[in-house]
Amino acid sequence: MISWRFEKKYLKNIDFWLIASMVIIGIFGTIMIYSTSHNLVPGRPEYYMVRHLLAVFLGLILFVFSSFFDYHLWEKSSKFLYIVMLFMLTIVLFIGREGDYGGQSWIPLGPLSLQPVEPAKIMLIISLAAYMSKEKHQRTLLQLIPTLAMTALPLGLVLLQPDLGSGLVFLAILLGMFYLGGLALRYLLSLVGIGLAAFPFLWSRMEEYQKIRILIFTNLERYKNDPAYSKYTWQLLQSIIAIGSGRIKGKGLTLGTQTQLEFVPESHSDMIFSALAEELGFIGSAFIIIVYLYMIYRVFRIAQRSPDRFGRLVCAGVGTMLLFHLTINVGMTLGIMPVIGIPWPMLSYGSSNLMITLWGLGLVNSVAMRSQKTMFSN
Amino acid sequence: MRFAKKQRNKIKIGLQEKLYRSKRITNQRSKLFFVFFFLLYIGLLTRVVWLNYAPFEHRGAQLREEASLVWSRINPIQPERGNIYDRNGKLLATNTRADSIVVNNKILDRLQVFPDYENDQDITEVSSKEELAFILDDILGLGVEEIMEILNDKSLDFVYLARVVSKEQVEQIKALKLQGFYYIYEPKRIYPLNDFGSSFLGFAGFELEGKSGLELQYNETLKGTPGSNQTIETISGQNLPYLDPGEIKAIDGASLYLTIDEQLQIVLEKELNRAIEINLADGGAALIMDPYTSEILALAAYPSYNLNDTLKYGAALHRNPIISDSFEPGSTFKIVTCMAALELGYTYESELFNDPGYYQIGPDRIWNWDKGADHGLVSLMDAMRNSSNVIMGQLGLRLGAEQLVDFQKRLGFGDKTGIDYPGESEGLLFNPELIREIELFTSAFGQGPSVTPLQQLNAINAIINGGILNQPHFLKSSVNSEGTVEEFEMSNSSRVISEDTSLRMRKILEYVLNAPGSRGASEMFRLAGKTGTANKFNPNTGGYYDDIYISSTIGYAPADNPMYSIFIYLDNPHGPDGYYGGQTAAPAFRRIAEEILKVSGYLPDELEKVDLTDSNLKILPEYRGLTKDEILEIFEEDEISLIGSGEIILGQFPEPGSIMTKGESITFLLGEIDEENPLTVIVPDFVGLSLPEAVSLSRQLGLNLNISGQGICLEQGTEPQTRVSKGSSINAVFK
Repeated sequence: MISWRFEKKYLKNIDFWLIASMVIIGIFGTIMIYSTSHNLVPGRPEYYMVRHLLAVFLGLILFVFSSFFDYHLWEKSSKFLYIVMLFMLTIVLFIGREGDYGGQSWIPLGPLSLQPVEPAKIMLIISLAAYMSKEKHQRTLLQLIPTLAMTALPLGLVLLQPDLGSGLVFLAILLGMFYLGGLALRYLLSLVGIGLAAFPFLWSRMEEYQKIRILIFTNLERYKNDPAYSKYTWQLLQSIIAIGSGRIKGKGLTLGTQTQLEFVPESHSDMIFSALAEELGFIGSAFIIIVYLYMIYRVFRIAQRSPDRFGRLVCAGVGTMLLFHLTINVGMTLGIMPVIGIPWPMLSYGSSNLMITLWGLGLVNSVAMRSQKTMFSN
Repeated sequence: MRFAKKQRNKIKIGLQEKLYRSKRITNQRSKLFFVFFFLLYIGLLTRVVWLNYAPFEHRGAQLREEASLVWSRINPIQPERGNIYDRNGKLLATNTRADSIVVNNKILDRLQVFPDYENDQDITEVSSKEELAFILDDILGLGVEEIMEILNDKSLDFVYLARVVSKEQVEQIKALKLQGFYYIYEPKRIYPLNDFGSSFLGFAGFELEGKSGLELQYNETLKGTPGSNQTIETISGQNLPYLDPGEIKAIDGASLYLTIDEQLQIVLEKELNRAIEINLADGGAALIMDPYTSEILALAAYPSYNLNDTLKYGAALHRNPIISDSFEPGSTFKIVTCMAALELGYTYESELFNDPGYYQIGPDRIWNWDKGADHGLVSLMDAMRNSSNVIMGQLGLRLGAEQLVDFQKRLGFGDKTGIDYPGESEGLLFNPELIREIELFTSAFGQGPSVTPLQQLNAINAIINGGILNQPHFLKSSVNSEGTVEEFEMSNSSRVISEDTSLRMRKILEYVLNAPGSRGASEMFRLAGKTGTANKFNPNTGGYYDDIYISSTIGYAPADNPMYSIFIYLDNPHGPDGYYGGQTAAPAFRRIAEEILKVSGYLPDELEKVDLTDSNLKILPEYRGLTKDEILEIFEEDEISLIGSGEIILGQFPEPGSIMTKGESITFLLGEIDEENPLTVIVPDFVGLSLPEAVSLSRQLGLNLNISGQGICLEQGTEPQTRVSKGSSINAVFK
């Protein structure tokens, strides 16, 4: 039941700490993007930052929009969203442009570009949440098949691009929502078991560069001096050098030599953590990670306060998505996760990801505004 | 109302959740989930700290070092090596610049390949060093193996790939956009006068490090202190000036002003070569010094070599025979024995000796050089003139080993003179405790000890300058990059004989050189000296060649007022004049003395010997500074010759203070004085003037005359009336 009425108490229910941590992260993100991108376009230091701020603006519209409208709006239109998602993921295979590392991933839209896989993440969360909050007759593992199929369809389309990283995000969202949604552990473990059993098949389907990245991750010391792999170890080694040279206070904004001098490729997007650790040191990187974790913590708190199961599952999905992005992104710059090119939401440069992150957080905020006060629930 | 709604929801959820558990489970799980990730992030942050501070060799500090290795490049700024000038500011050595290519093998090794992240078509993709070496060999032609060797050289951060390469080669390699390659435009040493002074200048190699001679001796002074700047580059080689960490300025090396006089050096090199040619000698060397200061005014050795092309010559040529070679002095050593005997009162000039032509020591009979001629009674003066071995040997016996060797040591033999030049040898004297009588006898006339030419001439300096032994030296002063002048300071000067003995020795030496028929005597100037002939040492047998000689003459000029001391020796002269020093080296000595006195503007001695009471003579006063009209009031027009145009007398010849006879013409040089710029000189017309006139006038004007030939000036390199700065050099051809 969508309520179009806007009650004053909703404003009181806005989660102040969620907003506060978002603001801090947004400011940090903008500063870091300027710091890492100001010399990328000669003579136009503001080039990337202006585009980033434009995406922030559009993302804030999405945030406000999704905050103020009842989140059940998305529940009602979940089937439609799911179809739109499949449509976007399909047409990008035909009209999409190639991204930096291959894969037909984006559609140009004026100064910004749209990567359909990004909104697909939120759309998948909504669709799964809608379905999982309604299903009534699930008693066996076989009855999970519709949910699995709902995920498998967009996952397959994404892998066709191919975009392994986003595919993994889809899987992570599904598993996170199963777990947080309360799926019995035996089912969950069975699913993980099936996934692991399917790994050899997945491995055989992987692109060569993806295999190399995983190999390097498993044994960097062995591959780092092998010229055949240097194209892949380079980025990682430079990132580790950058992080390892930042020390406590860092070298200062715009003064991180590894990142400023382009030794760390993509330091303004996927590798932004290495720039952060080099320029702002341990203090800066620990601070931003703690704030970020706190923001995700607020998302889970809101999930607990959610008046209904749909809201709870949406929050769980968004929180899981953010955690997965953060973990993989930071982990890969540290060399403890394989290099999978997924951004750090709100910090990495990338308009699509930024906007859908704000959309997702808008959904969470909408749930918060419509929840009962926590003191009554727990 | 609210309660009812809650209940309704609960019931609804209860119906739904069969597969999924309750909301309570969700809450528990989300806490668990979050705690798990929180711990994970503590782990991640620990890793950040680990990377920075872990004590493993490839972590922390080393990562920082690697970070700086890649981005910052310390470029040495080479200081300008100091110039070398002669005593009058004539340029002898300076620098020019040439391109070189340097490679940083550490960067090369870290890259392994040259990554092409931006898909930049311009960046060369080379996947192995071998491939790289082939490409470089195509351009540089150094050989693939040689290039591989350079690329694998880990001993230095920066290794020279190629030095002094053409602009085209540099451009070709730059176009490859290789990482770790740097291009240096670096200085190279040049010697504008090629062979000139090759015997002492030495040379500096490509690193501008002095390799031999004075370049080596004064390397530290000349080379200066390198500075550096850091440049910071992106991976694609783009400079980032806003990260400029500053620059340490290089301090240029000091310039050296040598005691060498370029004009005397020209004369000496010319005359040495001429003497070697005439006498078919294998080699030779000659030296001119200032007897009062022991400054080296000129030093020549044969053969000379082009300093700009040193790679062509072997190391042997870098040896300076005047300083590094020691050999038996022969008869010139008799000066030392004679002097010692005079100083100690063991003889006097008119003492008469019997010289039957030989002297018997036990079973050995020692002959004079003229093999048996009976000279009868001769004075000490004549014994020196005859170069009598018999009498000088006997003086040696009178002195005894201790005193003879002591005097030899006092004059600097058997030890380094301390000259500011690398590779000086000490020579060898007899040990007075071990010497046999016959060795004492022969060493008194120059057989047995070995000495360097420099030691000999420096001893002569002390003998004729009043008795002071000085440290011979090449350096007059050095001027550092800030313009501070540092004069050379002699480290040791000591009186070795009395002034009286010195004056008596001068007379003896003048008497000796001016023997009847002497080819060392000059008709123009009073010269003094002694000739010598010694058997050449045979390094193969350890003894002496019977038929190969070293012929020498040592002396000074003018005899009554020593200005220049001169030594020349010829190695194995066997030309039409034979091998005796008196026939081969002595004429060369005379020519050198005459030439350098003329070049220095010295008047022939006849003029100075004239009687000043004669009313026909007068001492020429100072006329410079007067106007043309004032001069014409003093002199009749036909008494003088005026050259140049202008109103002011700038120069006169003869110079003020000279003695002139009545009726002799005076030359005045007219010109103008530039009031605004007193350092400007208007070049006069030298054509038609004699060499002494031209030299004198140019000196009075503050010009440097580069003389070739002798006689009357035929042409001059700079047009008359040209304005040049004081101290400029003007070429002039005489015939």
